[in-house]
Amino acid sequence: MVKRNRNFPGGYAFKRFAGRPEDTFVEAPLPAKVRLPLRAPGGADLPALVKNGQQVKAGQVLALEEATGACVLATLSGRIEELKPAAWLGGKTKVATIIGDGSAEWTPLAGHSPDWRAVSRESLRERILRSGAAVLPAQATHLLVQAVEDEPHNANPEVLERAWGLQALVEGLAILSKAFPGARLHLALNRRRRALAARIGEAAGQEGLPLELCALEGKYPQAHRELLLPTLLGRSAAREAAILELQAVLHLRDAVVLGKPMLDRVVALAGTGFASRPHLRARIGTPLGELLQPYLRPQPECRLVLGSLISGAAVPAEAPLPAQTGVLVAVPENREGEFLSFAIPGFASDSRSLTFAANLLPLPKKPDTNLHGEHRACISCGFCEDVCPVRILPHILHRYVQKNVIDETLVRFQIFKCIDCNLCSYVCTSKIPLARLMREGKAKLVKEGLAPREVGA
Amino acid sequence: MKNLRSLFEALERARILRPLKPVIETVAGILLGTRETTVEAPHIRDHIEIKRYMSTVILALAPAAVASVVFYGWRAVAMIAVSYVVGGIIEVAFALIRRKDIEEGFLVTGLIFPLILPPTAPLWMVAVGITFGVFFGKEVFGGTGRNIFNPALVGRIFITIAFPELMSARWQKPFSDAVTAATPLGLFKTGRELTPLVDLLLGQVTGSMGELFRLGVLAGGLLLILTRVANWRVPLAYLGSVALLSWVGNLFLPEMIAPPQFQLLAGGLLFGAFFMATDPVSSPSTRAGKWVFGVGCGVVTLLIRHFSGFGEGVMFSILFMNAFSPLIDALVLNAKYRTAKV
Repeated sequence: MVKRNRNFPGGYAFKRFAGRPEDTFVEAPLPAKVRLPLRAPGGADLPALVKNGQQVKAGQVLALEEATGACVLATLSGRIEELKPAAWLGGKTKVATIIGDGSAEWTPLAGHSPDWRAVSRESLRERILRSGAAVLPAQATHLLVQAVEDEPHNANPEVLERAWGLQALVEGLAILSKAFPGARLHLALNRRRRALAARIGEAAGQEGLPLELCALEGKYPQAHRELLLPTLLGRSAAREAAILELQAVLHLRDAVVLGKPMLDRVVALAGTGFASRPHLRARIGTPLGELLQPYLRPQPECRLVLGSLISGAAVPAEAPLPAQTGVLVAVPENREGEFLSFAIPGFASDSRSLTFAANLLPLPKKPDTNLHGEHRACISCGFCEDVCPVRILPHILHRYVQKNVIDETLVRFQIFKCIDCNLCSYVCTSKIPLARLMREGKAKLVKEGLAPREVGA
Repeated sequence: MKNLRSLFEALERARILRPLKPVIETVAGILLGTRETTVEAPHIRDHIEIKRYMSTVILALAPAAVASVVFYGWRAVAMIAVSYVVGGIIEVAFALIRRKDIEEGFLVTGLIFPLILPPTAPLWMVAVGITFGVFFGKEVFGGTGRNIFNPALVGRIFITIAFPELMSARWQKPFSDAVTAATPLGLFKTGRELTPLVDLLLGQVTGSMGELFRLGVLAGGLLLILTRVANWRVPLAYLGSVALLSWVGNLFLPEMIAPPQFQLLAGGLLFGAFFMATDPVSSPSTRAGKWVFGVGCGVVTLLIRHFSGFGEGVMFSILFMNAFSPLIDALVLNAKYRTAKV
């Protein structure tokens, strides 16, 4: 029933990282205010439909682009107190601040009817889009739902299953299947979740839902689109494949069945900076500082990271909870270094080389932000080549970028195959920011017009 | 640790000690680790660093080094000490001139060098060899990571050529004072005599100090490979090609070419394959290149052992192949990306 899939070369399994989210589920209290960047999940700024001082209800559309249907919804009922550009994830975008009026009510989506099976697929897709739950392509031959758990810290899909119920999960999958008739529906889970896979498989079977279940190893960066497609569908992977996170399926089910817009999000708290780490259901846009206050340890000082310690962005405590995040990590800042780091046994140190005790014994590894070593010249140890999931040679490529030799050689050595997974930087013995240099190299090539056509566009 | 940190900070601030800043920073780095944190994703880093990497190599060299001290007593200690002190002075001098940190790679070079010398080598020669090796083998190229040749081998070859009679005719068995010109490989060449394998494994034969206790060399080599510090491809290709070629050679030319089990254990092959051919800097950096490099080392070693005037070919073969590493890498890259669309 459950397919075991092929692997991909390279990659790295982050095992036994301390601070994994606990299997508990908590409803966060209604926030006093929310801040909502008026930007589509793809990154485009959306024109605002509301004005400063206006009363809004949760679920009301704040910004909308007619052409694509991409929208941002109010996630709290109240009054718009502020509507102005602010810093957001390395850029600037218009942010709406809503002061809550204390009511937990929300406006149902327009034209909602509980009998979704009778609704046409166009209007199903319309509802999904308007709910903010997922951005779906116009056509798809494959629908990939994933909860692969390939990061050092992952949300637990079984907690999501418990929060919504198995029936809702399968219903969500059935809605997807109906919205894209003819498309093949895949669900990729981590190998450890055999029991969950079996439950979903059985329930889908009873519904008569053709679902292809895949158990993956959970090696980073398996969840990246560039690896998920070939691992699941083979090399000739169709381009018309849509990838959704498991939680998006649950939200789109709520949108279609209950008419509920996506107002909240379940985020798993992770990292040793939290004293307890539940899966937290909170309104999108809740200021993180307010949301996390009850859970953060007073000491040590921590860095908040969205989604992934390996490829996610660090955010300040004032930042609002984004609509796409499933995990929030608080990783301790370590500016002190380690005494005799070259000689200690390393009972809590992670390394791809097997030179630390934590890699040989079943001990938890405690990540922190220290560089754990000094910058040195590349010694060609080959670690980056070994972990690179797309088989390029960061140790060769970075030399060109460092010397600012930006020419066709880089393109010939396939620098554009790089998927920014950051693993090369993670394993580098000489602490060279390989991934950043690759990004720089790619950006310069694009600027000089040397990028191949499919990238330059 | 806090007190130690503030002590080093005070030292770094002291105006009078400014010329010594690289030394102070290096010592602080060794003792206290780095204070630097990541600034972007990935927010966490693998705990491996060059210091740990090199200290693993030193740990792997320990059985061979300890055995050489057991076999030759204070002489061995003195040779290692001279190598470290003289080589260390050069390393520090260059760090001061360049105003860069002292590079940890020297700690390995400084230990490997005395271990590949005959136990009778005079101490002044150790000093001359390590000086030449570190200076011309590494520093003139710009330091660790930029050198073409293995620095220890450069030093060894220099004194072999400069003082041939001292370097190739004065061998001493462990626990004995008798000096002889015969090594196991030499005995085979002159009289088809095969030294018992047990003697080779335990090191009760003549040879360079560190290569003798071959059980320990093997254990160290396996440690390097299991910890992933040394890449397994080079030693496998090297030892495998020596075994295969000498097996074939022994079938057809039994008078000239010794059988594989003897070839593998005689001379400096194990030590060279595990500790010198695996030097990541001077061997090819591509995977395919590592295979080519290892096989090349194996072929050249056998050619020198049996078709030349020299008794042993390990160090020449590795140095010879070091010279070809950049070429091998370039060819591998060309082959790999020849068909790639531009």
